Amino acid sequence: MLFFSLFKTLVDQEVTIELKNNLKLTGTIKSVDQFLNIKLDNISTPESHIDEDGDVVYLNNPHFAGLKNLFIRGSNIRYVHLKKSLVDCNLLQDAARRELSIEKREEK
Amino acid sequence: MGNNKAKKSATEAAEVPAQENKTIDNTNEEEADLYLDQYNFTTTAALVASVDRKVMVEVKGGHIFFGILRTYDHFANLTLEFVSERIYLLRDDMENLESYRPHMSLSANESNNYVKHYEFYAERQVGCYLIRGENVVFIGEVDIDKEDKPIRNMIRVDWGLANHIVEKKTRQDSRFMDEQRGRYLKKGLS
Repeated sequence: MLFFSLFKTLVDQEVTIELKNNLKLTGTIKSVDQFLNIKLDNISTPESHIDEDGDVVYLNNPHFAGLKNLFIRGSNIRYVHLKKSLVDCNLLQDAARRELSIEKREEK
Repeated sequence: MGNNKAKKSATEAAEVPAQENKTIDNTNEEEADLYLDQYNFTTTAALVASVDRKVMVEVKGGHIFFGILRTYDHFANLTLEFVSERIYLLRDDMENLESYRPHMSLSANESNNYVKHYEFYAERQVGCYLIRGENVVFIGEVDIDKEDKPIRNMIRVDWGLANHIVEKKTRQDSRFMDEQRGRYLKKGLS
């Protein structure tokens, strides 16, 4: 639940997501759910550029053309690259340990 | 006795709606907001806006489907109607497939560093699909005014031919991966 909460605070922030099929996507997080499925807006890939009409061209992924949003299934995500300013590592570490200790207490 | 029972049930019946009214009154705006807030972060909320619209779905194995999203659930099981499947091909795939060599892609950086210029595509109508959620990689809502822009500059080829090429490449890739796995195993790595 901790990382779900973390991602909820990252809504409307720009992140880069690396998928298990080696695809790298950059976009704005619009929504996240308990499975860490992530919905992105304004998707770009490392090789994408904007053409003269203002549309994004995805050379390696032509099927991305005209995409309004992208719902990525959490099970296919390998990494989420975050900007350093978006996450307080000390706070996260403390919270993770606290959650772990609560879980352990409940097991007993 | 019978009369009493009847009376009791009558009072109960009268009480039940009163209780229901009470609970409805108790759900104040704050609770409703909280409920809505939680709803915002569910699979349902993320996909509900795409229902009855054209979506692009990529599944494991790299197949690409376009279709109208009709239903879904929290596993991302999807039913799509009027589905078409699409394949993109490079000039190399079409002209010198024999020289295709599978290689190990070690990282996303490597595979994202070169640009592929797809010049051919193939498409076929496949009807209605139910896609099992575990195979879904991503679902994107498509703007139907812009979606065919890249394929306007591509040459459409026969589905059978394109499928044959892709299958051949996949076979080579999987054979390569098997060999690679064997080599790693010999060195005690798995």
